Amino acid sequence: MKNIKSISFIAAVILASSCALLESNKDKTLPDVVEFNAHIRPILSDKCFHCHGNDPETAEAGLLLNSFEAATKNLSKRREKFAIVPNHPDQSSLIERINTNDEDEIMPPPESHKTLSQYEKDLLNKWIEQGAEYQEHWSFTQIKDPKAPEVDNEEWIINPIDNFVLSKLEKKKLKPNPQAPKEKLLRRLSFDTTGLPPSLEELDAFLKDDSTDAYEKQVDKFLAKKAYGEHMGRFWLDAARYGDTHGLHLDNYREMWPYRDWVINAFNQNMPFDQFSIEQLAGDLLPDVTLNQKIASGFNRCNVTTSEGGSIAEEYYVRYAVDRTSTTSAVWLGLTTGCAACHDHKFDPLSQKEFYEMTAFFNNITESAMDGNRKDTPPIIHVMNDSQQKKDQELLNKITTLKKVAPHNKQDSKFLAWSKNAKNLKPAPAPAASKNIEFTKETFPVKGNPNFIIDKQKKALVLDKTTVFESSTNPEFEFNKPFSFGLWIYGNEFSGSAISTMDNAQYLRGWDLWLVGSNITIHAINEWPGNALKVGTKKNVLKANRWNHVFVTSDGSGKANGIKIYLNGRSQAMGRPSNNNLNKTIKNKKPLFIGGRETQPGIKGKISDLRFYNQELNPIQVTSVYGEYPIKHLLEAKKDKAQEDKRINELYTYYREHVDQKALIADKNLRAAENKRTQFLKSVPTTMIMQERPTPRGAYVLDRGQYDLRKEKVEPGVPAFLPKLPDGPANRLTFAKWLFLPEHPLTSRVTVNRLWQQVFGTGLTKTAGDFGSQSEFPSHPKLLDHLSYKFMHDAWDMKALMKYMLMSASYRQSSYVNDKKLKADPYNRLISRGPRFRLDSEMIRDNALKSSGLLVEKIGGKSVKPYQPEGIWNAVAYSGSNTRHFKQDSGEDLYRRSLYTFLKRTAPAPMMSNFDAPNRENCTVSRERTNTPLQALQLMNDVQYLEASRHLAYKALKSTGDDSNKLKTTFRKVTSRFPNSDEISIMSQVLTEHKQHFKANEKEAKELIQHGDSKVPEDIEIDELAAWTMLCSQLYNLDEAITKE
Amino acid sequence: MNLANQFNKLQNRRQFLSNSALGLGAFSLMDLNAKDSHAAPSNIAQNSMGLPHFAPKAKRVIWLCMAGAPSHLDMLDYKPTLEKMFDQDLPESVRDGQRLTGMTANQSRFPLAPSKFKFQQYGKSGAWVSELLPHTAKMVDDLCIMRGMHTEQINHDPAITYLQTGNQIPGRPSMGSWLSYGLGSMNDNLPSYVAMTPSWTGRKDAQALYQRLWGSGFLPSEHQGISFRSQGDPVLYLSDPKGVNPATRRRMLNSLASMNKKHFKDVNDPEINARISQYEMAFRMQTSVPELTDISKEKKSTLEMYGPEVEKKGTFAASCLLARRMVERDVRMVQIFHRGWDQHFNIAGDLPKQCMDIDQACYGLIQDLKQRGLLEDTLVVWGGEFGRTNYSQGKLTRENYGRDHHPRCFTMWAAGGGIKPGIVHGNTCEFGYNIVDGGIHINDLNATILNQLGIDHNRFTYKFQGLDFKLTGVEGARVVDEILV
Repeated sequence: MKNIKSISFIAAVILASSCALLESNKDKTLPDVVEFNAHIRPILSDKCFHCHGNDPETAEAGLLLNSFEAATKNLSKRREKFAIVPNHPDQSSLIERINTNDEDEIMPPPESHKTLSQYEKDLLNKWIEQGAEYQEHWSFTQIKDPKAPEVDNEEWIINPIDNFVLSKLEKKKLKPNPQAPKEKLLRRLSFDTTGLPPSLEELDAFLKDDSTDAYEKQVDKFLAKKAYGEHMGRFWLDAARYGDTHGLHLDNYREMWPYRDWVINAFNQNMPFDQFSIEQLAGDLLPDVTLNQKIASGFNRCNVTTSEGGSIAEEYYVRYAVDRTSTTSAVWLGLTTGCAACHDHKFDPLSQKEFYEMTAFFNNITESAMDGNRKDTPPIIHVMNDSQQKKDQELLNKITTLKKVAPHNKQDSKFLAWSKNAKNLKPAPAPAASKNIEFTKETFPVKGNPNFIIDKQKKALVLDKTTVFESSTNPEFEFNKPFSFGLWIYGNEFSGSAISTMDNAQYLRGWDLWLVGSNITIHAINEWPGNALKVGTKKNVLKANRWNHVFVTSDGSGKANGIKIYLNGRSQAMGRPSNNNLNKTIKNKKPLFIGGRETQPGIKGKISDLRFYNQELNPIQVTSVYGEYPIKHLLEAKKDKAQEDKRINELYTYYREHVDQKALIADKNLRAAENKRTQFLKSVPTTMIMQERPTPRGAYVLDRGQYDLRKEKVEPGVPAFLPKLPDGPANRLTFAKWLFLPEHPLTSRVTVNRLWQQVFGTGLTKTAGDFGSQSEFPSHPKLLDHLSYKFMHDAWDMKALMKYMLMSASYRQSSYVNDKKLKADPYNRLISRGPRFRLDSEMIRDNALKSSGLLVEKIGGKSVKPYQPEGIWNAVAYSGSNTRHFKQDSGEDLYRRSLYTFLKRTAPAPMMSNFDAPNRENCTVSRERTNTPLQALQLMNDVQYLEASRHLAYKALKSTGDDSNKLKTTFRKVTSRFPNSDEISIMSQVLTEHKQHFKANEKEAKELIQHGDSKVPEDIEIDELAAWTMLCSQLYNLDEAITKE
Repeated sequence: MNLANQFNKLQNRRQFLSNSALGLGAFSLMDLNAKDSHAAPSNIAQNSMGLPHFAPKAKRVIWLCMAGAPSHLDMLDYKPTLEKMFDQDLPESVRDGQRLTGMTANQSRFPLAPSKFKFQQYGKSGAWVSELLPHTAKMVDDLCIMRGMHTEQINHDPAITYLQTGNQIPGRPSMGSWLSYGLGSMNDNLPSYVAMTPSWTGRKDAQALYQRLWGSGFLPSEHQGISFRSQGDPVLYLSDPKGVNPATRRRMLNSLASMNKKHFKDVNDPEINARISQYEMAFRMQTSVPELTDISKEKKSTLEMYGPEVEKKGTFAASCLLARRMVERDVRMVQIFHRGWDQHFNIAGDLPKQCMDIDQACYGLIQDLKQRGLLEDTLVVWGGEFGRTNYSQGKLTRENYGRDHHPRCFTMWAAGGGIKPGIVHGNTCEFGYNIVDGGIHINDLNATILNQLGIDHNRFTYKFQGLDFKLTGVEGARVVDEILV
């Protein structure tokens, strides 16, 4: 035993390989009737379609082999030349070309690196001899209910599944295994329905129950458990690529768990699969949409997103749409559409144009390409529980009440009277600045030859966009202190900072007034971009070639919503901040730069009257600085109706804010109440949802999939080889309904196959994510159709389908395998025995938690952070990421089911990655199952398992009976079965040795029982507890403990 | 995977199954297939996948990845023209439509920024190296300096993902996991593929790494890179917990094996035997890994080659020494991800620190490998995910400046493993902005690395969801024959 790594590798490959091919290869007997779907299509698809498939553009020599018509047409204009002449292999050039020794002639050509085996050549020959009959690809044909085949051993049959399974076994001269022992069967059932082991009480009850429907009662009972939704949901979340971070670049926290909980609840309510799907694909578009339906639509917000500084928005819009399309295709259609992003599908009848027609359903979201590194990237929804809803209603009521205190009334006589006399009001004097700069030769001495002018009574400095001026008058603003500043600016060109103070060596520490285009923005930076604030006006408001008065105030919160920007005395609507994570100093030792950043001139024009304040000026004060009587512009009636309304509105606003004391107080109270609600909403969980843009973004065929190489515009549509879209608007909702048309050949097949895979370990076709022409021909095609038909006609009832499989005799077989079966059915694709394969990572951990009594069976809520070695996040995370430092949870959060473990997608928990759980960066419909030494190390040494071992040990020691009894019970808790006498003696022996050891080494004993956060029991002998802990750890490491069998 | 391969596997499995009853000894039969052993070129042993396709020149790879993208213009690509054109604008004709990141797209001008560091020619090849890399300068005749590297991506996350997995979007296997999958392991008690993430001293606000960079993508997870950590256990969960001494562990493992064997008799599933052997390998790793990381027996003269930081846990130098110790023990691929190379600003302050981190350590590694005869069949690759602009981002002075991302050209080097030593391959234009000749796309580099390991990148595929995936993508890549011995 020298090379374990490679053995496990081979074992994995063996598990994953196709037995259909192996078998046919093995005995080399050609089938009596060569069938296109079963025998020929796999060869053509793998070896020929790349050049002679569905893509006419790449069809070599004009030959397409994808249909009978194309394959049998005359290929030459001058003479008769046919690739295939039915019944005449000798006249078929295909046969000639695959058999020739001529390197220039041989097919497939050497540069394709593909070869045909003799067996494959023989198959092709015989198929043509028999007429070269084509069949529609098996998964694209309509689903019909095939008749269950007759079998010899009818007694074995429990439901029709068994007819299909047994008839195939009988053909292979194999007998099914007898039913598994009851305790094994219950364990299998328990894992398959809940992901957890059965309790001893459940085992005992089942062992005692001799009634004929004893098993069925158990099936019903387990399917009704709440843990069912968690277990089923966990598989679905792999497909949905659900995670707790955004997945790219900063990989910050993303709040999405209400969607995860929706999935769990949907399974528990046994929501029909059509509804389950429609709500996830288009819940937001349903009439009278509910909160839950909106949450469900988060399915297609689970894709990874970025906010990397230099990213180009369109590039990511395209990536998100492609991800959503590919995921949706893989999950419901079982089609690998992603490759059609760049070219027509080589193997399946899907054109590039059709692919982009599908993306058109998914690229109309009111989202921003950049996730903003925030947990709640819009569109989102607040998800309230009952008490939160109550609180929210209270807050809303308060707001409603306050709104009534001083209702808005522009016909108010007091207002009308005031407005008549308003002309007599005088502007208040401007508040004194703490520092100011007047631009004259005397007051602003600088080196060189600055050009000062007086323009419209403004003493101004001329900016030529080549020089940046320096002033020692740096106001030394700080992020957490209120400040204000303003200036007059006249610009021919705005392409940088007007004033700035930043230290490049400290990653731009400082602040500036950034005028690019004609948008007014402020940066306040500790370190760009990880600790910085950047926010600006929503619109491009600066006017070129005239004087603008720009004023900025900060309330000292350091947050974007504490910044106000004014233009010509009037506050401006603010845009969404692009950075809002400033929480450290912005002070530096640099002077103040005027006309740009230190060496980056930004403005061509003039600048005047620069003022700084160490306080936040209010709007009136700002207008005073601006110098105009604040409402002067509002006193002239306008002729245009809309303009006049606007004028009255603004005047009225001023009146309320500055004249009407009652309204002033009422509005202040109202704002406070509204702020309170805003604060409250921050405490409420959010989840990301889908929301359609009012005007479609438009989809285009993209040359080679490049976002900037647009070709023709396309409308939403579905591939032509599938049924037509039903009536209705061409949107996601119609698309979702289309999946459930009775004539749709894929949705049911794909779903049923995935559930079969979940229960039996391998799908009836093992390529669960690909039902296209490269897929594996199903091991039991008729069984797949039978189940698919039944599922559709049972109203897409998932529990009924699960029950149907779990009730079958096929499922109930013991998993023992004898040498004959190992040879004839190495991967159990014939279902000649019950399933036996390693549990998924979540089930392994949950088994330890449950059997040791540590499991906290609470459903849903925010994700938790159980034990994890230090430094796993920090080793990879961006310094500014909010998931850089892992902070372990405590108390019951250490013992929740594993599907609640926080998933940081760029650094998943080792328990997950070690045991083949995907990192959820993209859609996964089947997991690998590997066997590695790292798994052994984790199960032996991870504190989670040591703590569970101690708890299991403690329970054993506290129970009554002798050691042998205690061993039996403990062993049963971990494996669900009674140990046999050999096993008891092995356990007893090692226990005795451990006891001796720990008795002699008390220090070690003491150390061993300390692992984990839970309290160490004091009412027990330390050496005994240590010895038993070691034994329990051994049990958790048994192959049987981590295997479903 | 073709039928012949599948058939082979079946044969393997048959042998495996028929022998497994005999006990663990039967496993060694499997080695013939997956362990490539030290194959003589004239008579290469292919594993069950037909790999290697041809006699390999290299058996192992050490990939020194400078995450964040080092400035080729301040290190290895000397451009005197920039000196003459200090602070002049980058001509539009040179930029020629290159898309810019959001970080400099708004800059009103693109002032050309010559390197403030002195360059000199070294070695027989006369390669220009800046004063930041005095040790690298000493070994230019061991290196193949590739100045024509290029990529399409201009942002870190997709670009480094592209470099390491051949695709910009997450989900594909990294090169090391491809190698583990295709060639199997060469050693009995260490992982086949190791990744390290040492400390750095330049810009603290460093670009992130992602486990996907050494992840296995759609390949089975046993092929993922194993993180060797500088804090706690070098390999996760390696140490026996407190209170479990080696005797206790052995006792537990023996008893565990007896119970597993017992159960094998009851169910006959060969997977159980595989599990037993994984526990034995885990046990061996508990000895072999500490032995690997224990550098107390290294000669003083060896340590000195790597520089003063080598004995400081978690540094790049310490990682380089570990890398040598790993390849010495036939770890197939070692990757060191050194962060902090994203010098948008303050090249004067940060770049010298970054170079200090790596310069002597790289030198030490190459010399050490050479002295031990390991460089011959160990391929060492150094570089980042893209290059940096020839114009300054932000303020440009003679003393300090910054550089934005640049995809059109950057410099990497390779050594050993059948790569021509002492050559400079490829030239960029006088602005250091465009490639003039000797361009190597990152996919070409990956194709070349595979080639040195005896793999034809076009034939090395994995079927996933109905498609044949390969490391080098669908657009076509070529082996860069010009740099091969």
